Amino acid sequence: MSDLIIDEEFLGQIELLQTLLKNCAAGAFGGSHKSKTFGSSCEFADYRDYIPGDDITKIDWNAFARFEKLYLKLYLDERQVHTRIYIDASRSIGYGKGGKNRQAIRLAAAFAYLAVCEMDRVSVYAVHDDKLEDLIVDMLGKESYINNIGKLNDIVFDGDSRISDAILPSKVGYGDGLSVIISDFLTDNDYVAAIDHLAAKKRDILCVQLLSEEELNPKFRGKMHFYDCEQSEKYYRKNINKEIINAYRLALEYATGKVRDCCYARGGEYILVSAEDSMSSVFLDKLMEGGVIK
Amino acid sequence: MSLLYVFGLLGLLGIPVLIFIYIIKNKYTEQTISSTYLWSLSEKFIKRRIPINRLVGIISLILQILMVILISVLLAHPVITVPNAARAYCFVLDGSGSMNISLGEKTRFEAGKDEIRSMVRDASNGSEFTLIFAADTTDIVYERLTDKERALNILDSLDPAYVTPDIIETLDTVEGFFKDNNGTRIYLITDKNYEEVENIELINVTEGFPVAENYALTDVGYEVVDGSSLHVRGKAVSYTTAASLTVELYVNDDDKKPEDFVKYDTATVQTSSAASGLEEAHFELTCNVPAFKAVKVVITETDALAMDNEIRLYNTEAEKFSDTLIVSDTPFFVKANMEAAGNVDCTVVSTEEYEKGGYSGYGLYVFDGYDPVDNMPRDGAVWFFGPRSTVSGSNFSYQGDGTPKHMAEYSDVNSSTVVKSLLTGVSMTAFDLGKYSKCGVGGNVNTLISCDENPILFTCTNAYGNRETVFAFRLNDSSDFTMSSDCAVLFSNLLGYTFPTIVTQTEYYSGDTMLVHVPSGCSSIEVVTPSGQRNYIDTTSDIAEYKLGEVGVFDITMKMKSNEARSLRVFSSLAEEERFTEVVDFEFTVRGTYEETFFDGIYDDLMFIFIALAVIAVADFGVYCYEQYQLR
Repeated sequence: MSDLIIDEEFLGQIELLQTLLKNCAAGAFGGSHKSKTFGSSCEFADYRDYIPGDDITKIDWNAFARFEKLYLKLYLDERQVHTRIYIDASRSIGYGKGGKNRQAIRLAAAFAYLAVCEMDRVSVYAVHDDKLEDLIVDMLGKESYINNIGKLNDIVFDGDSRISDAILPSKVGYGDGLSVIISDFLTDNDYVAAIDHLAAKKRDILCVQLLSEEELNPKFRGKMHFYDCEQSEKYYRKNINKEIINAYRLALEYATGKVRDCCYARGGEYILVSAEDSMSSVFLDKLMEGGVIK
Repeated sequence: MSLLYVFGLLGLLGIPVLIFIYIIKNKYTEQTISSTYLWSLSEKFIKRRIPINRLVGIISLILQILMVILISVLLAHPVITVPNAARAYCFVLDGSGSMNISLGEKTRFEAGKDEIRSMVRDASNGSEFTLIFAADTTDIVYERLTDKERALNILDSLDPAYVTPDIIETLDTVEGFFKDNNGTRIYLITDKNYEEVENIELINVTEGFPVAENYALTDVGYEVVDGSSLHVRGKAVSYTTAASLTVELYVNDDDKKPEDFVKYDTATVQTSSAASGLEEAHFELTCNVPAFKAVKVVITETDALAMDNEIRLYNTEAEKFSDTLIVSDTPFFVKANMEAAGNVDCTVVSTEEYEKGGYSGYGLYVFDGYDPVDNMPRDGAVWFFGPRSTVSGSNFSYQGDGTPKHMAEYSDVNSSTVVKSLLTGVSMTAFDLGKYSKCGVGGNVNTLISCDENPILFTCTNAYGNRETVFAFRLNDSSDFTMSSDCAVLFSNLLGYTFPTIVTQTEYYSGDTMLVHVPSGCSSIEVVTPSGQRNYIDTTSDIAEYKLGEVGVFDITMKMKSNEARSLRVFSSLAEEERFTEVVDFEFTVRGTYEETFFDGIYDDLMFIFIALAVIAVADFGVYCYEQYQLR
C-alpha cells in the first residue's frame, strides 16, 4: 500500500472518537458482554479518566496527587473478553477507486481500539480464500495497540474470500467476546455457516457490510460490459437504463437484507457502511442508532 | 414507374454507412468492477420486460434506414405512369374590358382565372394545358404545357385588357389549335352568354352572381362661351336599371399640378329609357373660369365598374410658335395666302434687308424668290418659293428651270400618311403653271404636286432637323393655282404641318390609335400609361401612331434637341361596348369534331414521401426521447 491508512492522524481521530463514545454511551462497547471487562481482581490493567458516575472508590488518589487529575484504576476481570476482527481481504474489497479497503482497515482499527480501551484482548485476521491470515493476535492494551495496529497497512487485498471455509476451522473461542466480520458480502460463497458457527460458540457477532458509493448508487448508464475483478469469466452485459437501475436497487436491497436478516436471526448485529462514511458517522450514528453501542 | 434522377439512388449508400455508425455507436463500454454480483442479481428483479426496451436501438436504426431510403427515393424523383388518366385542356380566357367588372370581392377576370386554376389543380398530372388569351390580340399564351405550377404562374401574370377582342381573330386562333388537337377539351371562360356554342364548354363567370349596377359617362364635350364661361355637356348612362346619378365637374388650371382639380358644379340627373335601349340622362355643368388646362367629370355613385365613371378632357389649344418672317421683294401673294390660311404673325423684309443679317427667332422663314445659299436659318421651319440655287443644308438641289409640258398634278393620297394628311380637303384639280424650277430631292420627301414628273411642291426635313416646304414655283407664276380653293386649303394644311398640333384629340376610347405629329427638332416622345408603363414613340416620321391600350390619363412628354421639354395629356375611356354588364352574343362555334382522348397520367407528387419522411423523423425522435428517458 503506497500510503499508510493507520497513521498518527487516524489514531488521533479514533482517540477522539473513543472519548465521544464514552460521553455518549452509558456502557461499554459491545453491550453484550456478560461480565465486566474491568473487574475487581487484584491484577492492575490500566488507568482511565474519571467520568462522573464512576465508583469513586476506584480513584487512584496517588495519581491525583501527582497529576492533579482524577484517574480510575482498572483491574483485569477474571473473564477476559477476546474481540476477533475478520477482514475480507478479497480483491473485490481492494479493487477500484471505491476505497473499500481503506475503509475496511480503518473500521478494523477503530473496532480494535475500542476493544483495547475496554481492556479486551484483540485479534485481527485477514480472510484470503479459505485461509485466515493472523495479522494481530491477542493484542492487549494501548501500547500493544500502538505497536501492532500498523500491521493492518500490510494487508494485500487479492483473490477470493470464502469466509465460512476460513473461519470454521479456526479457533474462535467460546462465549468470550465479539466477532466482527468486515466484508462486502457480495459473493455466492457461503458466509452463513461462519455466522452460525460463531453463534454456536456463543460469540457476539457484528457483520459490517462495506460497499462503495458506486455500488450503493451506480451512475453507469448506456451499454456497459462489466467484468468481475475477482473472476474474469464473470461478466454482465446490458444497456443500463432506468429499468435495470431499478432492478439493481432491488437486488441491493435484497443482498443487504439477506446479510442483515442472517445476523439478526442469530442474535447478531449488522450495519451497512459506505466506503465514504466517516468513522464518526459509522460509530456515533449507525452503531448507536442501530443499538450496537448502548 | 420510372425515376427522373436515377443517380438519386446513390443515396442508398448511406444505409451501410448508417449501419456502420450504428455498430460503432452501439459498442458496449467495457469496465471492470469490484463485483458483478449485484448486477447479475438484478436480473431477477426486472419486473417486466418491455419488448421495446430491447428493440429501441434496432427500431431507431430501422427508422433511420427508412429515412435514408425515402430521401434517396425523393432525390431519384419517382414518376408513376397511370394509363388513360390524363387529358388535354384548352382554356380560352376572355380578357375584354368587361371582365374588369366587379362581382363583389373580385372581378370577373379574377373569377375566370379561379375557374382555370381549379381545373388545372384538379386535372391529373401529365395533363396538357393550353391557354388562349383574347385581349388586344388573341394569343396562345402557352400550348400543351404539362407543368401545372408554370401554367398557374403564367396565368397569374395575365391582366384583362380594356378593349373588345376581335372575335373573328379569337375564333380563328381557337379553330387553328383545335384543328391540330381535336382531342382537346376547350373551355371558354367569359362573362358573355353565347346562344350557340360548338366544341366548346362555356363557363360564364357571372353565373350565380346578381346583375351588377354599372353607370358611365358618354359623349362628354365642352364649349367656351364668351371667352370665360365653360359649358360641359354629356350623358350619364345606367346599363342595368334606372338610377338617380350625381355628376360633378372639376377644373384644373395649373400645368405644374395636373392632378389638382377644383370642384365647380354638381348636377343630379335621373336616367330614363332612351332610343339606345339604355337608361340615359343628359347633363350640363357650367362654370366661369378665365382659362383651364383640363376638366374632369365624375359620377359619384359606386358601381361595379369604377373606371367608366370619370372622364377627363384636356384643352388642345397648344401654344404655337407662329411668328413668320417673309423674305421677298414681291411678298403680296405669299403674305396674303398665309394670313388667309391661319393665325400667322407675318413680318416682311426685303432680300436686301435680310442679307444685312440679324434675323432669327422666327418659327418660320419664307424665302420668296430669294435663296439663302449659305446662310439658311437653323432655328425654324423654312419655306421656299421658286428657288433658283441650291441652298446649303436644304434637302433639294437646283437643277435648272423647267417649262411645263403638262398640267401640274397632285400625288396619290395613299402614297404616305403625311401626304394623305397634307392633301386633306384638297380637291386635287390639276392646274397650269407658267414655269418652275427643277429640283433634285433627297430621301424622305413627301411630294404633293409634280409637273412633268418633277416635284414642284414637296415637304421634307432639312439638315438642321427643321421642316422644309418647297414650292418649286412662285405664286405669281401660276394664277390658276393661286386663285383656286386648293391653294388656301393647302396653305392651311402646310401651316399645320409646319406648326403641328401634336395631338388633334385628347379624348379616346381604349384600343384607339392616337396620332402624334412629331414636331421639328423633337428628339424623343415618351408616353407614360395609366399603369405607369413607359413607352417611346418612333420620332423618325412626321406622324407617329400609338395605340392606347389602357383606361385613364396618358402623360406624353416630348424632348426637343434644344433640351426643351413639352408635356401634354390625353384621356382614354373604356370602350363603350365593354361597359355593358350583360352581353349576349350569338355564337362561338369551333368547327371540327371533338374526339375525346385520354393519355397516360403522370403522378410525381412527392408530398406523400415528404409526409412519410416527416412521420418517420418524428417517430425516430420519439424513440430517441424514450431512450434518453430510460437512461436517466
